[in-house]
Amino acid sequence: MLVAATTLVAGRAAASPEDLFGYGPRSIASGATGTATSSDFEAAYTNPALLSRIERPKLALGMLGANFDVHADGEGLPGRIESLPAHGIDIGVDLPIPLQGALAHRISGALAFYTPTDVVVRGRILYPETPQFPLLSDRAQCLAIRMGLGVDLGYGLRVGAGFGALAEIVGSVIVATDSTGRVGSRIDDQLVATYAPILGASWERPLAHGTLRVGAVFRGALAARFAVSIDATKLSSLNIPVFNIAGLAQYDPLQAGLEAGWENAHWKLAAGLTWKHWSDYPGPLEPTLPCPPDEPDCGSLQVTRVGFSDTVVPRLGVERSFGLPRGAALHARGGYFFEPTPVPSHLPSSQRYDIPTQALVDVPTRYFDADRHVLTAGLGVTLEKPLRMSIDAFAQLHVLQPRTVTLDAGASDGSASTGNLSGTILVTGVQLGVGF
Amino acid sequence: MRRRSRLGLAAGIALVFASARAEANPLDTFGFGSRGTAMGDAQAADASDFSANYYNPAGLVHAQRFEIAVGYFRAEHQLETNGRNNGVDPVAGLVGGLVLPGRVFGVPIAFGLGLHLPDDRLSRVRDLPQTQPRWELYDNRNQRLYLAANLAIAPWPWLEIGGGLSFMASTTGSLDITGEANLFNASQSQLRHQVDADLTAVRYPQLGARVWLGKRAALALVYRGQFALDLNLSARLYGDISHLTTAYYALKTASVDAFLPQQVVLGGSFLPIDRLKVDIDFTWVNWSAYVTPVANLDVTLAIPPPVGGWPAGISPPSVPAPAQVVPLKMSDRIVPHVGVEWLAYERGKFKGFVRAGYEYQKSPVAPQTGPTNYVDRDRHTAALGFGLRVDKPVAILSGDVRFDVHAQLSVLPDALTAKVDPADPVGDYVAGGLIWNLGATMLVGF
Amino acid sequence: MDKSARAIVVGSLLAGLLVRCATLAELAHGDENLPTAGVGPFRKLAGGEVRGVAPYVLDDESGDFREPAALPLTSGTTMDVALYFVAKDASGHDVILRTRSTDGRTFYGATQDFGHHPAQVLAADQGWEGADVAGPSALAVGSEVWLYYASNGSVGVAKSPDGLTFTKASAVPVLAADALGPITGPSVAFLPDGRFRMLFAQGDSIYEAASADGVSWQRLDADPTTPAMDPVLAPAPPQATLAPGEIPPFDTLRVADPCLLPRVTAAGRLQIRVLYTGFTAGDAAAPASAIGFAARYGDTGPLVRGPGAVYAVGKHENAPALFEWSLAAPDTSSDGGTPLVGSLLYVGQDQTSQGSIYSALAAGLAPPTATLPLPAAYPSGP
Repeated sequence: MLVAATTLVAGRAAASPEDLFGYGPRSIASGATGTATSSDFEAAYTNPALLSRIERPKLALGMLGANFDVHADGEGLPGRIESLPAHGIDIGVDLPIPLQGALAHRISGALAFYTPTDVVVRGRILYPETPQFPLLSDRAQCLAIRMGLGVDLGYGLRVGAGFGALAEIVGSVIVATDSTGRVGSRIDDQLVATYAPILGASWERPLAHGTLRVGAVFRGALAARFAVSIDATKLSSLNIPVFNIAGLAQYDPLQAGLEAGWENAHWKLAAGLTWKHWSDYPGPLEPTLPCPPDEPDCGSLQVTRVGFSDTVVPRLGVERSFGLPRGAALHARGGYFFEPTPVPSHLPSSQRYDIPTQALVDVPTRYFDADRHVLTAGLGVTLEKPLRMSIDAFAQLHVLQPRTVTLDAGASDGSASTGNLSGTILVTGVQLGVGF
Repeated sequence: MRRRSRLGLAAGIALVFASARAEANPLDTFGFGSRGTAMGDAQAADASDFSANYYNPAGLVHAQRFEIAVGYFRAEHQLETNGRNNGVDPVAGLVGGLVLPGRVFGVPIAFGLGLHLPDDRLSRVRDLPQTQPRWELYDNRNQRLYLAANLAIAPWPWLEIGGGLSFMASTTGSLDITGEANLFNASQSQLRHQVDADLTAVRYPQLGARVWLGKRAALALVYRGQFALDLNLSARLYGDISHLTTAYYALKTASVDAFLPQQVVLGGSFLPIDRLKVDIDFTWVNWSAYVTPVANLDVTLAIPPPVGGWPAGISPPSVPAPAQVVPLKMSDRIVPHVGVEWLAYERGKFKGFVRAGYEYQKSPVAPQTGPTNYVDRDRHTAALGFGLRVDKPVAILSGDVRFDVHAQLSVLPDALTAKVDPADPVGDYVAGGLIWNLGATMLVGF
Repeated sequence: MDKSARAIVVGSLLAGLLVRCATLAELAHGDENLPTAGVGPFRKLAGGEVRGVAPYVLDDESGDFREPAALPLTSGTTMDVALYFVAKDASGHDVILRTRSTDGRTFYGATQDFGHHPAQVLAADQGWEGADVAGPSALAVGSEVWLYYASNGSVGVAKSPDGLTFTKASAVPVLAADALGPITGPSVAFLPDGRFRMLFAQGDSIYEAASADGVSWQRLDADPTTPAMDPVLAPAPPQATLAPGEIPPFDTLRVADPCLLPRVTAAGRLQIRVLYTGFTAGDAAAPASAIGFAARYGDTGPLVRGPGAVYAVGKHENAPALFEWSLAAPDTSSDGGTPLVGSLLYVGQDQTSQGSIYSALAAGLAPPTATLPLPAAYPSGP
């Protein structure tokens, strides 16, 4: 059951790869469906109720890589936006709980991790005029930890619950000089966990020589903040303020999904919708000098908030299984989903202080994103003898639908300009699972 | 006992992401699970439940069934200098884990997970001015998460091998601050920032082996690799100073926190009579590799004077001189642990255990007679515990349920630190104290 | 689901409620009641810690308050302290006043204590004295208060049963000026064995004298191997090389105003601690100054100076006095419950009012991370 952890190309890891791509080789290859059809540790993300379908323990280890090729063309825009690829390891553990009597074969759990190969969490909170696709590659740089438990209540009904976890940084740095003029520091930074619940349910009944199942899932918003205050007031004789270096490094919106699936020994079909509450997203930036709550117009530079919109993601997935000798099987998978963008097409300007003119000036807010059409495919082989194992490979091609956005203050004369967005994302991966 | 067959799989053993037992982490100081803590942490040759994730991953393969454990402990510090409590934060949180045994090609294997999740935080990096007194081994280094996933295999009935990699996260970041700083009304400054920060993964290895000398004795050898949490931050401030002049501040800080030296543990477990088990461990700790936990700070400051000079009441700043870091010297140590477990009661499906343990760690910190104040003292730790095992307590469980409790007391005898420099701002002091650790663990075997 | 199963499920849920799961990020502690030599570094008192303008505790433009000396009123177990200091009387001569506080910073007769004034306790009236008295140093001796002072370059002593009504102890000074020059700023304290010890300024250095009875004094030579009378502390030599950004020594011109603070350390050895004023060349009329710390182990010998100033605010601060306390009274705790062990430093430093500069008494606090609660009410008398 041991899997060789071979050479993995060092790279950034996805912060929310499951929200971008889905989780688990079968789900990723099948249009990121699974709310009604998952049957292993993937369900810790897709629908924890379906964890109750797990009957035998398994350990799985896989690799995922994603390359981003995104473009923004127009006045003041660079064309290709540099985006580091994402590489990481995903680990899954199927844990059936072997109770006896009335609870036999009814309760199972799972652990699902995704860890970047060298970055656990990446927080890039850039100036708004820097061209960026904040919902793509930088969001894909984060450790993901999910655990869940599913219960088969009988009568076709299953329920489950779990949680996802991220880490955020809070702390302070105090820099001062001592009586001899030597500089010293006091640093107090903490890594704190932040959790989001995930709840799921499903109902199934036999239909047409197979099983029809309807699944529903709710995932709470998962956010990781970076907040470090820097106090250099005693570094020199100048009266400089305490800096609030803070922002939202990672964010997965609150979401709810509904999916219908049908499966038998040879086919799995799934279709679903996922609603994502992006309108609650506060944006990545926070002011360096926040105003007191009772003085919202205190005069310090504040941050422009871009209003994101809720989205609905439709998904389709299909899997065809072919029997092989000695209990083995070959599985071919395919799917499609459409990920609308929550970013508006008209972006208001932000402000910065211009040192030469000693005045506040407007700058464009270059937060780019576009609707994505995602085609998915994959292959898998399951073996029963001499060892119960599975090998799955998957690929996704994301195509950004070309889009024109309007940027206030984007032109060199301060008037509005336009930007043309396009690009692709290619995701590939493989996973090996061993039962024991 | 399960049948085992020879299989030359040693070369094929993969080291997966297992967390190593980390020195200078709470489990090194307080143990993992009530049974191990009560037995003086002398568990390298004995542990075979979830606690083996920490004490010796090889022991995981000795588990007979799927087990899940959950528990809690709280350690309170009463560490004092000059008779006054220094308020060192308690260490408290959940402990738990699981063991999943199985067979691959007929060879026993096991997968294990171990977790200590603190109440308050996942980890804490704390760099203080080097002259500030602090309890170096207790103040901050135990404030962190422990997460372990291990694999173990028994290629022969008398040999168990396990191993893995641990990971934690260290921080690297840079930030820019630009705008206008208003010297006369700082809250109206027009400043903004951008951040590029990574929590980068840190990995360190752990390997363990256990050899059975018949059914009543075992020897174990464990190696744990070195680990450190880096914190590297750079900051750049460029802006207008109240329309008077421009300022450029660049600040770089680099430090190492929560340094865990490598260790080698040699342990033995013996069953001289059926009801009595005796465990003995010796741990070599490579403290001499300890990295001084003081930030190296580099500051650049360029503020040209305004035309017409500085206004009254504002004196021009000068570039601060870099701090002179005094290295922290530590010495390697061998820490003995001893533990006993007595089967005090046995009737039907109930078994009751009484446990006791002791360990001694001589302080590895060099006398602090100079300007630094890394306070530490020798530590004597005694523990007591009780356990109850119930076989098949309810119809739905085919395994057993175990309840274990522990009480651990560490005594750090008072000792004097006498300064060489009469003008030292801290001066002579006496330091010592107590640490109490109470906890309980429940384990369910399926 | 049968009863056993329900029990297990409920028990698991309850167990889950006991943990907070690494979410709280509470502030770190571990830096309470840290050992300290008690002599800084000090920070200025902040706005909420004094009734007037921080960090000043006694401020009167016409009084020109200087050279404070602190006398604990309850052996340092409360914050009751009396302050003796120099002020100008109506005729422009220097006299010594006394006031009192119950919290170390709210003094009777301060500017905001309307209608009240500190009490004058000493003025020049002896033949050997000139027109002024200065440099008070107060000491509790049995049931009396002894007040040492400098006048006309020599040191005298006055005694009082209540700390307010003083009688000059003799018609001659207890320590007279000599070839080294006039004596200023005497500071007298007891050693642990009951002997008296005095530090004083002469010329540009600080010297030492000893006495068995507090009246008859013998000068002590810091280095008996040399023929000259050596000071315990001389001006610091200028530093030949400085690291970029390193602040040069603050006491290269002159050292003065010693505040003698003997104690026995945790190691059982006698430590002579001294706060002092260090001067360095500023403009010719007003050299720059700061408060420094020097110390030695043992009964005699030169002092070793600390690494830098313990209080430096750029206002010609001078003449330090220290009040140390160690108590468990909740009204002085910094966090609502922990006994505070701390030190208040009193200095004279420049204050400005409508363009004119005069001397007022300011205070600093150690450890600098501590904060004091709101000030108490004014005492009912000096």
